[in-house]
Amino acid sequence: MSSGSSYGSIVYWGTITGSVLVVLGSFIGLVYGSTWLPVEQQYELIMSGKVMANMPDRYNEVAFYYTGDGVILLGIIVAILSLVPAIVVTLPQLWRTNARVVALCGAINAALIVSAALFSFS
Amino acid sequence: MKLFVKIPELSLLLLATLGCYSLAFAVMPDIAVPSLPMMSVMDIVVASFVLSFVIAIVAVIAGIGGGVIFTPIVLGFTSIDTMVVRATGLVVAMFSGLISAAPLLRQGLVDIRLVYVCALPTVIGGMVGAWVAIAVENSMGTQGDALVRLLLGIMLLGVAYVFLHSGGRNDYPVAADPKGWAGRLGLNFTYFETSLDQSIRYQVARLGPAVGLFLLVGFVGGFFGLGGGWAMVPVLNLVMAIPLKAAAASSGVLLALGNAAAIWPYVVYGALVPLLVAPWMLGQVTGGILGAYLLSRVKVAVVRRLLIVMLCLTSVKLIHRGLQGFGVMP
Repeated sequence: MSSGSSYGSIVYWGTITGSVLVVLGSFIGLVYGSTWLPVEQQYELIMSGKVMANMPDRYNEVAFYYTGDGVILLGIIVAILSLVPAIVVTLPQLWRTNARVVALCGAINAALIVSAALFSFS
Repeated sequence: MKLFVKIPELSLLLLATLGCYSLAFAVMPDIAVPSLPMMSVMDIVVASFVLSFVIAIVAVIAGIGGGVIFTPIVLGFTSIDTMVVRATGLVVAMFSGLISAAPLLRQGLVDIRLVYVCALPTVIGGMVGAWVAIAVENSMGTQGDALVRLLLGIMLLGVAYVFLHSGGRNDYPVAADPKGWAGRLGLNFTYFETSLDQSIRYQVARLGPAVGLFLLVGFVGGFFGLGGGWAMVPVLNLVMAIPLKAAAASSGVLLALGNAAAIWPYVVYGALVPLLVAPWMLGQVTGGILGAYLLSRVKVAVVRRLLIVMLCLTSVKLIHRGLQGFGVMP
């Protein structure tokens, strides 16, 4: 399998897995009503233009990830971070085929994505 | 129907989404949102999914990210906070690119070496753009909101201009002699053009200026939550001499990777509201798969003309709201 196909397959299935988690989270949130704030209250805050920046602390609470919102967020994170293993898998093949500068660019891209995520959550 | 048999994961995802929303409709009481008395919560959720599905199809066919359609419309016509809109806009811009990467790479329309090289400045620009957006929001408050709307309105007029004058692009630029950075990195590729029944060889040109432009595109995409697909195709085609079809395909894959770092500052700021984003993300994924399938059957020129009209109208509305925010207009 070429490096491009490996990359594409991992990202594709990572996105599908993330989407399944997002559907599951929507189910938990909308059908069971398990959310960090009542659904109607969240929508009222959003639609009336209220900033929700006072909420980031919720990401540090494990309980958040048992709610519909938490599962949706996990799904989005899984889909986006599937880019990292997808890049890593392609690097040895690029290195072996003398595309070493390109492999280095790929490695820096992966490192930047992970660093941005870690830095933002730290 | 054949498509749903051929791609069972698309059928299952659509069925699961529709099943979930149908159950939610049955279970949830008909609660209206006070600021939108005509609509219940579930009306907004379903409308978001349908709109995102349509935007994804249009975005894939037009070779742009969905963010350039989503962000201006929602900023121009709703009262949702600009940070929330921009965070959701980045998700909208990314996910059709993520899902369409596999078929485009498999067909050979996109080469991963080109994606990695061009993504590096885009990722850096996107991260800086997102951090600057948060700094502006923190320091300027509501005036920052008005400034974002005004600047975005002016910029959209520029995007419409780029679309309008990109008709003379090179479909198949002549393969130049390998020289400069692109030559040293061996950025020469081949793909099979089915409409001509022959292989097209191309050599990437002017990598230096393109790196600078990708930095700028990444910054604008990260700052406004637009993605940046609308600017990537002209850079790839006009500056780097990549055939139009390969440029349009590469732009989507590049967009997904380029925005992957810009999204995190918005997530931690609290601007990514999961329940709001969910229907938009699901619409992008399912619509993105369908858009890639329809790509060869629809006239791209018609879609582009519609986009130009929509961008012009939205930019007028955004400029008006931006000036209102500064107290210049009633």
